[in-house]
Amino acid sequence: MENYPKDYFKLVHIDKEVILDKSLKTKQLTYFQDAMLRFGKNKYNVIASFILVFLIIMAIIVPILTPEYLYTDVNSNLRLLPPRVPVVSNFGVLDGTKFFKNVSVDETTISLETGLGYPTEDFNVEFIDMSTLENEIQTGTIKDASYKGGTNELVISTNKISHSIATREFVSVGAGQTIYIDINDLSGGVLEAYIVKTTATFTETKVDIQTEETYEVTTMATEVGDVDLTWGDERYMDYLGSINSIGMNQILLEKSGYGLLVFRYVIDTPASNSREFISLNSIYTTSGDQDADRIKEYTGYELSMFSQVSLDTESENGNYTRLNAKRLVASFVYDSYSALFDDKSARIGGVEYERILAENIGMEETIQVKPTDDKVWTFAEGYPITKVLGYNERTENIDGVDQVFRTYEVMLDGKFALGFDEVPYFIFGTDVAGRDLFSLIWLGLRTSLMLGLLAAITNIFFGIIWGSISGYYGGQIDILMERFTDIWGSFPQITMISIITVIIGPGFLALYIFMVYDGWIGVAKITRLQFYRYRGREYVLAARTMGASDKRIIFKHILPNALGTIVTRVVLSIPAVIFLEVNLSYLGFGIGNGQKLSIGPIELTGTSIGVILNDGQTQILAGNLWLIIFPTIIVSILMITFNMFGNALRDALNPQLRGN
Amino acid sequence: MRNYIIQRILWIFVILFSTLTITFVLLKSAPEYPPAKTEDKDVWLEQQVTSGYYLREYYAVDDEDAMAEVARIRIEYVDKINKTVFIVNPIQDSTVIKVFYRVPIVEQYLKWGYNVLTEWDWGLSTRIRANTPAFSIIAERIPLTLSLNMLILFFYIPFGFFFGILAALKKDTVIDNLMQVFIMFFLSLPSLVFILLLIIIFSYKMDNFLPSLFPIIEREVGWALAKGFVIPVVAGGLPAVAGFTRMLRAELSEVLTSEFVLLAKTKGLSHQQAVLRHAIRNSLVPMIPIIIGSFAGLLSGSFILEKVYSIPGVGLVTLRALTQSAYDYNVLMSSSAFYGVIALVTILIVDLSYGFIDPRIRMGAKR
Repeated sequence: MENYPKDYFKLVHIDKEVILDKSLKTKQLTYFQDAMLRFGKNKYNVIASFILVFLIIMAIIVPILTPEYLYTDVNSNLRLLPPRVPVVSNFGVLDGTKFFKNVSVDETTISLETGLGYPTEDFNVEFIDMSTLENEIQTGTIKDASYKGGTNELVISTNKISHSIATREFVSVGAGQTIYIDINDLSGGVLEAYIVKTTATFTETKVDIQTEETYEVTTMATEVGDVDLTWGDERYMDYLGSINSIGMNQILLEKSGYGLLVFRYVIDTPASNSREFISLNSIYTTSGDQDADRIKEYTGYELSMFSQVSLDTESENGNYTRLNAKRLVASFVYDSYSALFDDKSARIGGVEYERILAENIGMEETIQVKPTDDKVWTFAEGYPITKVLGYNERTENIDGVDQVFRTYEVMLDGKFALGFDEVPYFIFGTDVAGRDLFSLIWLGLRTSLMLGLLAAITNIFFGIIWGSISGYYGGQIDILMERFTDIWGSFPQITMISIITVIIGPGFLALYIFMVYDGWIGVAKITRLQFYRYRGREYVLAARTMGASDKRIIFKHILPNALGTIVTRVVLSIPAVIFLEVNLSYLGFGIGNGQKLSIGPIELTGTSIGVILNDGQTQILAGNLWLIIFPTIIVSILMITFNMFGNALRDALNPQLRGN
Repeated sequence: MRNYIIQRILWIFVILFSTLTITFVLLKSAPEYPPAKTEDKDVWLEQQVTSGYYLREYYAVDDEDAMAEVARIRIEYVDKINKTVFIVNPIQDSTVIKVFYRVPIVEQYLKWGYNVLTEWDWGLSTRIRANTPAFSIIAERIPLTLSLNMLILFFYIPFGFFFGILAALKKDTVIDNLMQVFIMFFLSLPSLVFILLLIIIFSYKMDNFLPSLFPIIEREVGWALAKGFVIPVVAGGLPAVAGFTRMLRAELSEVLTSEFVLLAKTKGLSHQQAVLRHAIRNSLVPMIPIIIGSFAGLLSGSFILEKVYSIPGVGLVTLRALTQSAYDYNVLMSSSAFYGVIALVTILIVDLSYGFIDPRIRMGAKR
């Protein structure tokens, strides 16, 4: 070393120039800016994200802006109003009209010109769109009065020898009368007719006829006192006669009687299949020949309402069905809004009239009496009564003073009665309870989103802790923790639902537990994987050599690197959680109408999309489809945009895609 | 290999045992819901005594001391009466009041385990069908539920293959993009919504072309019954078709870029030949376990289908057993066992199938 003198070393760099880091020519991006750039790469995903934000804002704002009574109060007057949207309704769509299908026609309304009839019950003819009215004949097997005609078939069950039907009320028959029985078809047995007398014994023991509605074995009376009752027992019944041919048959009555008229179809040998039957058209009694006035007549519906009876269930059983019954049904478009908000005529007393006038200050001044008739006058808009059509006066002498009482014929304002100034626009219609579906959906969405978010946060929290410990330490701890998640994760969902429902009952808490009990496992798995990747890296080793604690390494060094993947995973899990919420609420294990949960200033109601769908499902066959379609559309959009947003986020948070 | 399978089967039993134990302990610590009718309740409680879940004491009606004792019991167990302690008043000609006490949970559990293992006795149903063996209620519905799921499987696989191959071959064309949209749509919608929409279209709009509810099996035969399967099968199958298409597309497009396909083409095969003979077979390897695994997924999804469409399967009866304040614990236990076994066996078959299908994977190999 000392061989080199000091001046042997020379300064090479002698000028004043100082070498510094050169600033980059390109613009430098922060991590966040870079992520945003990648986020914006796929235009569709960006659009989806905007829609998602819009949906979330709607879910927050709409329930706040809408008057609360519209979506909380049950208002049966407003129930099941179809959607009505301003502007669009002028073009004939979503204009508050509803298509009714298969409504029984009131046959008195059938017009001679068109041959078409319409229903009058529950419908006001003024608001039926006559151009859409169509009639149709429906054939059915329903035992209902709106169905006419048809045959009634009495079938004997396999291995039985007879089955019987009886009138539901007591019938009196007289000697000399004739029972006419019109038989459509029969399989070869004999139809016997009896009248089961209402003797003293019988009325006391009460003939016990169980109706078909209970679907129990029908028994008339198997014993009276200690006596076993058999067919033809003369103490309790009279045998009237029997017939066995197709077509019009007659039984001439020799004795009078009062009681239940029973017809028993009987075959010789036990039925080998269920094709032993008799098909009846009609049964009637007259005092003479076929065309004479009918005393009792049973056809179609009346005949189908006979009860099934048997004396001995061992040998007698079968069924009694109605076939080929017809009814006239109409389908038409009905203007539900106009019908509901139309003025309704009513008759009110003078006291009531005066009270209304007194309560509505200024109402009396708007009276405009009809020039030609001073008993008729109108009021201005916005008062309970729009018009007085006339009144009756009567004078009564009370306590020696003549008093005049009036009864007014008035038109009540439909809008005023329901609390509206104008005919309202329910743009998504109203539900079964008369609540506004539009605000109800956003309210439900708010609950669904909020629960989804809460569940997601919980899942991240537990998943990250579990996964990071498992992944960071590895070895025995890892194996044990993994086995635990294996067992926990293979718990069948329905078992978990059973346990939670039984122990804490349906509600917010139950729903929340369903959403998180195994939801964190996914997050834990992915976190564990990320930790396996990063824990062997040099920078972790460096931190450890410098004495950093495990906690510090996990949360300060490894987790931030793994966060992108985890966050994406969590965002993509939110739709799945909402999915679950919809399904569970639909099944009735989640929340329901009327429940409430307060989290700080936010109050969640028990209405969620699943609950709305559950309510709406019963209305499908009644044709109130908007109750299903609108929630479906909203929830689909939410799901699709959430998934696309998740995909965009995944791209954004993946630094490997940099510069692509 | 053999050791691995044995190990896995043992593992299944461990998991099944733990889940059933937890379920049993939690359910049976909750208040009991015996049959509603007094006669049924009496029969049921007597049966519980025979099986060892309850203890019984008799008190004669005409004995004043005994009556005083009953009154004392009523006061002492006021919180537990009709939950874990039941007092049955004399029925018909009987002259005794019967008091039933539920034995401690550990004892119940041991008895239950013994009954299940030796006699396959899962207990009696309480509310679904009083005093019928609970497992038979589940067992008689298994064929319907399984056949529904098999039908969904047979429905979705051909369509899934067709669309998946189509999407991979036409990748990044209009057809592919269009299919991506549909896949997104079908995957984003709950099957609940599908079945409702299908009911609207085929039942309401088309005048009961297809039934709006599952037909009653006892009444209908042949065609009428077959029509009842259409809506649930399609509703359950469409999301599965979409999921399968997406996976097959991804798998197949990866295989298509591999070197052996290139080699096949350089040998002179047309693109179509190369795809059909070489690529598809290779892309099948990961798909078969997915198909098997989807069975368990479909089964757990069939709750909704059965509920919406009133299909009298295992799912529907399980949901009925969960009616609030009319729980039927034994039916719930049986159905838990059913779903648990199906899920675990499916997972086992999936894991084993990897080894059988793909020779590159060795079962249970040590790292």
